[in-house]
Amino acid sequence: MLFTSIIFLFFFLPAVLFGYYVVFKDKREAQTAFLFIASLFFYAWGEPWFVAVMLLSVACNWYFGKAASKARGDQRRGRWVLGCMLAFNISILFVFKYLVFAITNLNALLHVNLPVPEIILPIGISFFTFQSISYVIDIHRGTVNAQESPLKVGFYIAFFPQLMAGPIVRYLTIADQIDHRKESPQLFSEGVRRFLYGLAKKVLLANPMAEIVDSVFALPASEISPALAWLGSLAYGFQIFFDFSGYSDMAIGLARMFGFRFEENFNYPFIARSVSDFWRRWHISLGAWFRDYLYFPLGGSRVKSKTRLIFNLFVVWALTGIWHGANWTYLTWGLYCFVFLTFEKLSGFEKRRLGLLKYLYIHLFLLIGWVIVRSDNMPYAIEYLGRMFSPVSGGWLDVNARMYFEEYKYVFLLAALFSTPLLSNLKDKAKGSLLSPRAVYVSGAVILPLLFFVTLTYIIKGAYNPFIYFKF
Amino acid sequence: MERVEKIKIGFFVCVLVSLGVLTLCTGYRRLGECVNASIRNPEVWWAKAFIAGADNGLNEAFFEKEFFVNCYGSLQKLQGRQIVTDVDKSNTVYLLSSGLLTFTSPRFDMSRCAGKLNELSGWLEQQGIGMLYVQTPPKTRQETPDLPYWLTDYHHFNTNDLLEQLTAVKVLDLRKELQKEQIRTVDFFYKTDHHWNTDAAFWACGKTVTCLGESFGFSFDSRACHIDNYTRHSLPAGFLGSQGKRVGEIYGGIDDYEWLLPRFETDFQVTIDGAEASGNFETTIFLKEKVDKTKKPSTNRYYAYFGDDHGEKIIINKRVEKGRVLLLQDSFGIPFSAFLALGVHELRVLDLRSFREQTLKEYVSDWKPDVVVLLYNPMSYTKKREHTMFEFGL
Repeated sequence: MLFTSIIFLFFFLPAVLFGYYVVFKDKREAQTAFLFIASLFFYAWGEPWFVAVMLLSVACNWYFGKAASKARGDQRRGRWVLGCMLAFNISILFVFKYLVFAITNLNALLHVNLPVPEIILPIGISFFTFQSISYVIDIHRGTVNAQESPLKVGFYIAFFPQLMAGPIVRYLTIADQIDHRKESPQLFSEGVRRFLYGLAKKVLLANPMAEIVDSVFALPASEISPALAWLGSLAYGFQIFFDFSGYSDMAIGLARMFGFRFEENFNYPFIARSVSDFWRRWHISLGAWFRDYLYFPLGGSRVKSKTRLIFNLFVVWALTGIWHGANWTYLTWGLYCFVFLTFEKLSGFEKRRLGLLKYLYIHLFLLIGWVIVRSDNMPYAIEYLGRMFSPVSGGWLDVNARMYFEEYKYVFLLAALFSTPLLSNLKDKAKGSLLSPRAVYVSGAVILPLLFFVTLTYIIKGAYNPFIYFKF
Repeated sequence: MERVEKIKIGFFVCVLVSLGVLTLCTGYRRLGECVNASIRNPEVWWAKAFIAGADNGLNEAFFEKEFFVNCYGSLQKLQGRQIVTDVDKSNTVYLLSSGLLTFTSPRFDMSRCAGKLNELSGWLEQQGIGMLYVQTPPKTRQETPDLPYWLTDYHHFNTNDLLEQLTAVKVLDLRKELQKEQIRTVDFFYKTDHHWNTDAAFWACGKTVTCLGESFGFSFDSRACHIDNYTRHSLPAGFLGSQGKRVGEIYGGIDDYEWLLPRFETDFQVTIDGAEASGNFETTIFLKEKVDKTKKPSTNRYYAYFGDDHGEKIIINKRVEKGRVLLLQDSFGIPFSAFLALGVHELRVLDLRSFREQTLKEYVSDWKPDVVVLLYNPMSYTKKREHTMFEFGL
């Protein structure tokens, strides 16, 4: 079930709100159980069989959590529990997400003919598996206590707002809120606002960009002019940002409607001035996960030798890349980030004052990187990148590039505007200005319903609405 | 402050609940149809079929969907857009410089289709049966293209590719006839629908029977060919077609719907998918409810003749003694076959997209028509249609 679907907006969400606030009002345990069951229904709507995978993950990780808790103080036993937990979770992830890729590449490399199974990837498996892993590790570290109730573990793992596209929520964030959250009209209202902004980002900005991206990347690379190549990459950057951050906004907003506060997942990444800064602003929950559960245990930056530092960064970024999908392009992109991050760390790049050159640097890094991420395979990515710098027979600019720019100029403009904090800063200035608070308030009260209405027209018409998280 | 927040929350929840409830109340029938149609697919597990049907049904039956589509179209018009995309890319609508809306076609290799048609013609000739392939025109012009400069449409390309390979088939290319008579596509096509209009179908029928007469000595009741023998009726601003429904009236405009009814006496026995009816043209072939002006413009007026696409139609004209024609058609044949039926004794119409009871070979062997006419439009030149409309069981 998608957040942008009619069934979610007008049936599922109102039904869940009704059940939560009316049927099970003031019954905390029942409310949590209800949300868990609703989440399973939400997940089953996409693919009913996946619920079995989800429940298996919940049951096993609940058990591992209990075992890790009992093993505190016994280092050997604790490691044994962690090892089993990691083997289980990584195996599930490997089988559903990477097995086909592994076998296909083995067949190509070794010239054998191993049978390639047909496996459907459960949606959101990368997200809920990482959440499960972090849960048990945090128990092992003593950061949190094990949850006695499997239902509450299930709720933590399967809660529908963050289930399909994150953010990756730590159990520490949510543990106390499961039993002691405080719903309020203020928080609910904030949630609605956040949800609607996320919905608008996805429907009004990400989806139109996706129309361009899917058309451009469907062309043979040899038919793409440099202008179209750059436009396609720019459009993809906007698509993935507004889609992903839009989903995160919707997740955070929905969680607030039920009294939960999640951590932020994006912080205007396109105003970053280095690759390191970009990764502190982009998919923050993923970066933090790899930092806390892989980078720091490997020693992080506090290692004695540069070689070890480089090795740590290499492992983290190779796995970050491959987490995104079972394709050489994702691994390449992860290593692409690794190269630049290592350069920045070793050269002290972030401390240097380079003014606008830094923005040029980061955006060039991104525009090239997006091509790698979006391409179906590396040969295409390489050819596409080549096209960015050398014209085809038609020259630097072709009719397609002109067409996309003409047809989508307003969307590009709005995308550029909303990818910066410009409007947010203007709003803050307006609040502190001579404009009456009422004027600022009323304009907000008019803009949001209008935005919601416009978004609805796109959803109900059935405009192009791709779901890009099926790879995760 | 809390009171204000509660009002906002109440408003938000009310909007969601109201639209959901109104959708169920006004659209439960359509929702039920979509779910039933989905569940009937034996290849899909019933739970997944139910989910797909429900999703699809809610999208189709949403409360006042046309109003929202109209608003969406207005926003696209404000931006000056000439493309209106759709969740299904093949339903993307383009605005031509002539003001017409159109879909486009990708390039398609017509060799297989051409081979099948040549084979069919040869086999029919062996049976002593004539065959005429009638090529309907697409909405876009070939000689003076009205597409946006950046848009390539392959309707004409695919059509030319097919016709060039029809070495053993008698062809009537209506595009050439249009050009000869300098008829504009805006006069023969709906602005907001992918089909041609009633006048175009009538004109095409006249051209077809003339060609049948010249090529195969086929005789046709001349009363049916003269426009003066018909009364013309109109529903001004009464038709929002398949493309118009996707973009709204503000973006794409709206069409008048006109229909022709014979002045002369008629008497038919019509069997459609096994169901029989007897009576005159207006009771057996023309469906008055489709032109009811109290119904919304989004009512599919195009199906005023015969009501819908059907796998098989058997039309016996008791006022005409001669002529047995088998017509293979897609939806362009619907009004066309109504006029053709007025001039022959028996017209049988097959739509191979849905007719599965027999192969064409078996059908022709059983019934033995005087002549076989194929009337296909360039939108049918696709991979999906290749394996139905061009499969004749030879």
